[in-house]
Amino acid sequence: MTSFGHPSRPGFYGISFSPELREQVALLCEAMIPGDGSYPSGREAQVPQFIEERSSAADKERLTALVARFPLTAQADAVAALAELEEVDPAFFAWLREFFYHGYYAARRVIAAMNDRGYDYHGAPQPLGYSLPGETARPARPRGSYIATSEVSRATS
Amino acid sequence: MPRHDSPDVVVVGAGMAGAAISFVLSRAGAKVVCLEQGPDVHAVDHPTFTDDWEFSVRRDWSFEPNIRNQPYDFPVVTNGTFQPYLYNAVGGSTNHYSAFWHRLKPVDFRKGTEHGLEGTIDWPLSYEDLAPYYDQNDADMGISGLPGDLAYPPRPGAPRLPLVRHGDYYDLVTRGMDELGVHWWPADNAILTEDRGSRLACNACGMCNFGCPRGSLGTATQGYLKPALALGLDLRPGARVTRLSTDATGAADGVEYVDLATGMGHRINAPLVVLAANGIGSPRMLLLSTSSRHPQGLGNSSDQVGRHFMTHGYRLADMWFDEPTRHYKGPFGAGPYCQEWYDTDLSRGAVNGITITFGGAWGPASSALGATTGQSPAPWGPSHHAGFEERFDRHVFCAIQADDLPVATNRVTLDTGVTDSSGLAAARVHYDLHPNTRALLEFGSDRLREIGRAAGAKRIDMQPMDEAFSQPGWHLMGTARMSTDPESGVVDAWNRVWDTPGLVVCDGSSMVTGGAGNPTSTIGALALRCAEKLVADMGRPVRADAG
Repeated sequence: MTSFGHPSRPGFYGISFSPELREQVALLCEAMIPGDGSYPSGREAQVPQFIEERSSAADKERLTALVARFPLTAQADAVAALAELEEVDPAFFAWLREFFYHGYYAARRVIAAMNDRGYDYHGAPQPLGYSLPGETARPARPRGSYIATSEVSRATS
Repeated sequence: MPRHDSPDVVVVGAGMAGAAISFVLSRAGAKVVCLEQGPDVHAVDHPTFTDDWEFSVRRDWSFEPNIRNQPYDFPVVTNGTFQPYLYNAVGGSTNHYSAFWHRLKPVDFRKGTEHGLEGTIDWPLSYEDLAPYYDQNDADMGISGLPGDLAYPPRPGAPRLPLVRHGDYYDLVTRGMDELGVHWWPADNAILTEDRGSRLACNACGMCNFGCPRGSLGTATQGYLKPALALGLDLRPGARVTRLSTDATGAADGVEYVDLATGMGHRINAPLVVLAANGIGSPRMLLLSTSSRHPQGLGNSSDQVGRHFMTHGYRLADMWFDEPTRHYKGPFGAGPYCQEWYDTDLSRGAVNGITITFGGAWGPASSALGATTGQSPAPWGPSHHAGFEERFDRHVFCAIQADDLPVATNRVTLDTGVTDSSGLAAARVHYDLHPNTRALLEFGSDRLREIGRAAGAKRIDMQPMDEAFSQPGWHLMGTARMSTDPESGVVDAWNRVWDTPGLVVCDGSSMVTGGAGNPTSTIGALALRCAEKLVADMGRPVRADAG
């Protein structure tokens, strides 16, 4: 084969946020997913860093427009902003939630918290995979039929 | 690897069909060049080794070329009813599939006889004609499964590896189907459960749909391209074909392509051209290849190219349980299936039928977002974590799959207003969900709810059928279909293009009907049958006939 390889980890765009945008995104992350003693908060799970690393230019533009629309100076502002956004622009809110939730559940601290809560999910599917002992169940009473070629006829009611 | 400057055959596309044909022809001693516009995919390219895998599969590893938007993808413009899913790479969309290994059934080849609705015609071959090639394809790919499903003809020649293992969801839903007394069977999967050469047995990582670095997943690369390369195949990734060319008589005589790595244009002359670029890419290429002898594009003398696009009607659902389902373990989307309602029963108000499939699902981010349907995401704010624990490890992926009708106005054409990175017109696909398909999906929704209740599900979320892009276009079929005459289709019973000697089209576009099952097994079988005929006729002109 000639050399034409798959891009190595496409989806990193080399975008950086201003300190102001970074802080505003962090406030939104904290409001979207607060910590609760068992699970870390969005900020503690470094979701803001994930968002910055994985944002395209278009993503950054959307986030910049969002914080311009809802200037945030405190955590309470972020909670109010998310509540309003969810009501007035559900599509935008869904995009933001999808981005934040993905960043959160990709975090090692969150996976460790899940493990502490009894889940055996280990993050990256490979190389570990999972052990599934036992047998795959089979039908208790097999049934079924098919129409043979020679039996195909016009369907009538 | 040899480089063939004057090959016997040029194959366009290195997916399931292109790979199988390349292998059979190479094995017969032909000099074969296979051109693939996408890249080679190395095991570590898959988003499998990092914790952000769920994010990657929504973006850079999306099924959707318009979302990935890589230079080697081509845009697909739609009328907003479905999402076009395909993968441009060596191995094609088998890099990116559930490996659910259904066959068509005998009746699926005779739907013209059974009802003939819309553009439905009989296949120019029967199940019995294709069965030996299904068996051979199964042997080549490596299929796990359980022989004996009474819903299919016996398959004594089809080898099976032991069944794959699934998360606990499997026992929950099969218990429900047993209680109702309806048909179900463990799915056949192109997934190894025993090591085979350099390919390792499945380790139940739950990520089949986005590639398998172990080689457990039966991809076109594993099944056919690797052995074909050992036989001397000249495989060229990053080679985007811009045009199929014809000589003064109108016969195919080669292809023109751009090397995407260098931008250089090339031409290859060959007496036989095989187009295998999927149910959207193949009609697009036929339409792009106009000439004075073929002003409407190749194969299009009867205005059939691109028509009868089918993608299976789908209604996806999430079933939610109080018990753990371990949905993140074992193969995605390929657990037990139910074909109690596969055959036509006019009392349902529709022809054709459905398959209901249950499968594993993705990880915690997907669960938090409401899983497959996204209908009930975990709340944000202080109650998020409690909401997450009500969802993660508690759901089952369900799919109602309906046998679509071939409708002439569901069609692939060109969109000259949108181009790929080489300036070629995008594919435009118009698809409307047919009332017959909708009726099947509504009927299936009621049956799924009954299964859910019997299984003890506490809730079922159904994908709305009328939202924009609600249909997943995983299966691209029918757009250069086989026919017994040049007026009804694009290729004959051996995949030879009716109006263009020297040109063969073989992939999902060849399929006359789609049944209610995933098509890769059928595409592979058709490719083996087509290739065997080409080998038998080697040295003679390739020309369609009705015999």
